[in-house]
Amino acid sequence: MIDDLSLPPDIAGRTVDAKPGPGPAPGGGEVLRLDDLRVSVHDGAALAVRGVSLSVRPGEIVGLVGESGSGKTLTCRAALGVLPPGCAVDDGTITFAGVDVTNLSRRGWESVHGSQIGAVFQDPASYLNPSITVGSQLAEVLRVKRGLRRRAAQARAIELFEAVGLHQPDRVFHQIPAELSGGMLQRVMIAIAISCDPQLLIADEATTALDVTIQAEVLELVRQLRDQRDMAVLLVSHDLAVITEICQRIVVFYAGEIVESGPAREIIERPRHPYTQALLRVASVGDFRRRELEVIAGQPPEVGAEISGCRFAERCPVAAAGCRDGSIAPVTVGDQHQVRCVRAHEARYAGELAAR
Amino acid sequence: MTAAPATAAASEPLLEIESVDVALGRGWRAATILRGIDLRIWPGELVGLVGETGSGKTTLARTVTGLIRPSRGRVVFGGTVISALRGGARRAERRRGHLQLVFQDPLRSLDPDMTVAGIVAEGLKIRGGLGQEEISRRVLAALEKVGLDATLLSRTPGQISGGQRQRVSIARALAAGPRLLLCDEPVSALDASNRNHVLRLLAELRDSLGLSIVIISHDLSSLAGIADRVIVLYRGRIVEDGPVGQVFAAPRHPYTALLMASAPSVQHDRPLTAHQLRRTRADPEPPPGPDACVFAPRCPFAIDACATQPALEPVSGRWVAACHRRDDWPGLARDRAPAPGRPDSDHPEAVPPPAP
Repeated sequence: MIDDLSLPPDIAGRTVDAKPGPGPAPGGGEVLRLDDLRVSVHDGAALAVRGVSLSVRPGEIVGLVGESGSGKTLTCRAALGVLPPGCAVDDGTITFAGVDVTNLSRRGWESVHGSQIGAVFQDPASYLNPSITVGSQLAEVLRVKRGLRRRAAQARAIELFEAVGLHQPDRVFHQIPAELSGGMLQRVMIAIAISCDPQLLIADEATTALDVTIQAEVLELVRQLRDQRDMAVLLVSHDLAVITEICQRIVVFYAGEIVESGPAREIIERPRHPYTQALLRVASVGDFRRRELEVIAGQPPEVGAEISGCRFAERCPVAAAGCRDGSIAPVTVGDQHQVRCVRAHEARYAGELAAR
Repeated sequence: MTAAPATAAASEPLLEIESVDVALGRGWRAATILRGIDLRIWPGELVGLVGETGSGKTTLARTVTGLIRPSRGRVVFGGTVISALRGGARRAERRRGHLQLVFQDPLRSLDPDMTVAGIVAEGLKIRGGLGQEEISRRVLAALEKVGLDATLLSRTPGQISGGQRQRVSIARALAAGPRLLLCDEPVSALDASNRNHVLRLLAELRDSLGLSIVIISHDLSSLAGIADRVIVLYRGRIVEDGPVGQVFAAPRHPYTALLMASAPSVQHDRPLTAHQLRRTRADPEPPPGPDACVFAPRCPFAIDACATQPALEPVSGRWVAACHRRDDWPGLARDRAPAPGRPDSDHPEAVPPPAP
């Protein structure tokens, strides 16, 4: 069990160029803030993320949910400064701990990665070197990013392995990835991601490939790490049930736009966008009775498709004439609860799910 | 060959697996993957087979299809002891196509260079004895059964969506006119809406064609929506088997309960939490030894009696469970703390058995 993960300030400070530093960051205490972010794919041919604005505060777990191709992963990758080839930030700003990092150079990003943002992805095995022990892969990060000596790095790595719930951490240190199960590898990835005390952890479908029992354990671990370290977490999943397990705020993506965002309880109990309502109906509701399994009719539009009006109108069961005109701006329907739907204020939506 | 007894055909199981052991590898590398598997699948039954990575679900499916020969016991399909068939007799049995497999990832199991028409027709061509016209007729009929449009015939797997691809795999299996469909994780690569779509399709096929279907999955909640029966595997043994409604209402094996409690859910009010069903350091050491209950190392309720593997014993009717404490543990679990008192990380990680 680890009580104190902070390092002497001289070591911590050495790794950071931009120096936002610990403590309350400027900009309302937000760790990450995206303003009107637009990301293009296929060398600018299509706009896959269309004006996304969101923020994550310390100690907060924010969930991004949506179907594949909705732009949630690209948004994360932009926030990490690791967009795939052919993709670029066209417009908007990414502010990390009060510092604009939108046009940061590659070298600038390197100082942010690991030491300030940690990331975990779906397939842990593909991010680890199969022929090197997981311990030395974590120790390497500690030596490079935090300037620890070899022996100190090993001791610290074993502490971190214990902190992420790996049994016999000193034994795990000497094992190669093939000797560990998927859940253990994901814990190793989390240990690497948090090794330099990042202010933000981005988990992109981090539990999707795991068994349900292991998935529950990894989600619990993320919540514990947040509690212990006051870390901000951005959790991405296509499964609303996973998101609602641990998130305080939910951001729903559809075809490159945020269609609804707000406090998790509010979104689950009073979803106002027809797409969120549809997602809730198809999510695993924890119902173990025989029932009709619901589906969302139709397919999402092609990435970058130019559509007049609401991008969900094509599949929406309650689309009206006004849904096809102009661009639909988000409206506020409750405390921090925003919906991009022209019919959001109509009473028929409120409590529809509660009545189910 | 076993002669069919004089009873009505409908009351005869379509598939009977009798005390089957399966070992993979030879010599010192041999590992027993399945032990003492006894199960029957009746005509027109939709069975969910659940369990975690390494529990032997896929090995069981491969044994049933004759891709692996059991080291003990026998597999009887439609009155034929298929585990005893050799050489030409086995190939002839396979070509009859009464037993079909559907795999997890259609992108990997379908040939990327073949068209949908070619994929669905391939099995029929190999089987021989059918004219070109008859083959095209059956291909179209199979596509229609899975709700796919004939316009997709000339597309390749890369040109259709994930949900459509999985329906092509099902159409390929249906074209052979099977009596039993074995689906190995058919929906784990799909998002929630497409997952429900494919599961609904399988339930419809059971109803319209009277097919027996086995779905391997670890998504218990959606299985509960459509399956008639659920079989829970743990480390190569069946630990619980019974009608879905009864098993999920009050599971008698703690592992089944752990799977249910771990399933992500939009609703947070669970009868038992995962924490109440996991071992903590405070629990007494489980009984050691090679004959101990397979679940004992993870079971918080293990006692001395658990030093011997419990047999599957009837709970009621066709419902069986293998647990010495099946009447005691639910009460004990309810008395345990629903959540960790303070952040701790001392539940042992499940390690899959070593790969053969």
